[in-house]
Amino acid sequence: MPVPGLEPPIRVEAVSLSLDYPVFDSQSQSLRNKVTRFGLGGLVQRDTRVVSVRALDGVSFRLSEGDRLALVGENGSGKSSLLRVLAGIYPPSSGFLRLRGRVSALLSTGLGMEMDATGRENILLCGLAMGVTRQEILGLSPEIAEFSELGTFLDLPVRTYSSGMALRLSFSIASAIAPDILLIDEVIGIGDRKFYEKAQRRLLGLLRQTQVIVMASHDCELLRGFCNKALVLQNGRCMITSDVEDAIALYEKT
Amino acid sequence: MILPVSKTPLAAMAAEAWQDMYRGFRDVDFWVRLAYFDLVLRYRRTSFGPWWVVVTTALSVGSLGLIFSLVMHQNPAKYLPYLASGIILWQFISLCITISCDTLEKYAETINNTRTDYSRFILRLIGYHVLILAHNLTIFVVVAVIFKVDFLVMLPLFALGMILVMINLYWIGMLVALLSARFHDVTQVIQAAMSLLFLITPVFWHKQVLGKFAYLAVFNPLVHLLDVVRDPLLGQVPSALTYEALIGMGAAGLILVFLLLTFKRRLIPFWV
Repeated sequence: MPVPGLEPPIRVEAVSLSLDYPVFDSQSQSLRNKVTRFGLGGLVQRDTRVVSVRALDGVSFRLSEGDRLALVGENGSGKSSLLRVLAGIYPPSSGFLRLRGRVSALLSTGLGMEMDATGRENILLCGLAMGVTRQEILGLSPEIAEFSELGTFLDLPVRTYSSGMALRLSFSIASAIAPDILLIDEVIGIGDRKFYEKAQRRLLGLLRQTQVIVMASHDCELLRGFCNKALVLQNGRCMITSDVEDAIALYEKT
Repeated sequence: MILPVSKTPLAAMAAEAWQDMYRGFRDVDFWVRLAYFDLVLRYRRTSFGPWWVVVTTALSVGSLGLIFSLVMHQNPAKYLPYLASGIILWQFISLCITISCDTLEKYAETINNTRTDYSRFILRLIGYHVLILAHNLTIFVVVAVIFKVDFLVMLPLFALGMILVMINLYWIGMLVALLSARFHDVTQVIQAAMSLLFLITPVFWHKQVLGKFAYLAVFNPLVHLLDVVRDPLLGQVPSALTYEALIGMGAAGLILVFLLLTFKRRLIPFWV
C-alpha cells in the first residue's frame, strides 16, 4: 500500500523503446548467401541485408507499484513484442528499460506441456519450463492440483483431456506463481463458465499480490475491471497512455 | 536494466553467456530429470520401452559383425567386441551431434515465451542419449562375456572417458545448435557429414588397415572421441595423445561457444 505523501516506487521504466524484428527467410537465413558473399567477393552484388520489421517504435512509459497497465491495440500492433521485450526475451534495438523485481511472463498457455505425461507430471514440467525451481513447484503442486479441480484426471495423460481441461491445468500452474511484475498476454476463455469465474477470482487474487501487471487483451470488460492505466499501440507506436476508458474508446474508434 | 545489444557493455553480455553455461552445469538435477522424463514419455505406451533401441542396435551389430568378419577375414572373437563397442558408442556420439541441430527449433516456443538458458536444452539431450547408451551397452556386455573380454579392469578409465566425451559433445552440440538455428542449411550439412564420417572413422574397421596412412587418423577428432571410451571397454589404455586432443578440443570448444553466446545469445529468439 502506498504511504500517503510518498510516491510509490517506480518498478518499470521504459524510455523510447524500439524493436526491429529481424526476419530470417530462406534467403537471408541460408548459409549459401553468406558463402557466396564471402567467396565471390564483390562479384555477386546481391542485397543481403537482413530485412527487419519495426515492431516497436519509441515506446515510453513508467509504472509504479500498484499499477496495472492494459495494452490495447489491433493484431500486430506490437502488444506481444512489447511484452517480450519487458520479459527480457527480445533485446530492444534502441532505448532502454529498467525493471525492479522478479518478472514472470504468462505469454503462452501450455508451455512445456507434454501430452503423454500425466497432469501431475505436467505440473512439474510446465513449472520447470517457466523457470521455476523444482523445490518451489513441488511446494505449490498440491495447491495447483486442488485449484484445477481435475481430481483423478491428474493421474491420466494430458492426451486424454479435453482442450478445456488442458487449459484449466495450464492456467492453474501459471497463475500459482506470484512474481513482482507479471506480464500477461491474452487471458482468454478458460474452461467452462464456473471455472472461468473461479479463474477470474484467482487472477484478481494474484493481481493483488503482484506489484505491477502489464496485460494485453482484446477483452475490454476484463481490462476495465483490472487495469488503472492503458497504453494504446498502433503499428508499434504508442498512441496514448492514459486511463482505461479513454484508451478503450480510442481503440474502439479506430 | 535492459539495453539494446549495441549499447550493452561487453562485460554484461559475457556475464550472461557465462551464466547460461554455468547454470546449465550447476542444475544437473534439472536436466537429468528432464532427460529421464523424455525417455519415460517417449516409450510410455510401448511394452519394451527403450529396449526397442537395444533390439535395433543388436540387429545391426549382429549382421554387420557376421558380414564383416567374413568379408574382412576377421576373427569373430576379436572383431565382435570391437565392432559392438564401436557401433554403440558411435551411435551415441553421432546422435548427440545430429539431434543437437534441431534442438533450439524444437524448443522455439519456450525460447520465445520465457527467459531461458540455452545450454540446458543441449545437456538434456545429452542426458537422454546417455540413458539410451546405458541400455545399448548391455549388448556390449553380452558380447564381452561371450568372448571373454575383460572390460571391468578399465572401468574407471571408461568413466573418465565418458566425462571427456560429454564435455566435448556439449560444446559441439551448442555450436551446431546455434549455427543451425541461424543457418538452416547447417542441419543438412551436419547430417551428410556424419554419414561420411561414419565411413572414414575406424568404427567397424581397424586403424591398422590404413597402413602407413594410419597417422592420418589422429587428425579426425571423432577418432579420439571414440577411442577414449572404446579402448577402456576393450581392456586397453587410450593413448596420451587422445587425452591431450580431447582436453585441448574441449577447452577450445568451450571458449568458442562462450564467445558465440557472448555476441549472439540475445538474438537467438529471433532465429528460432
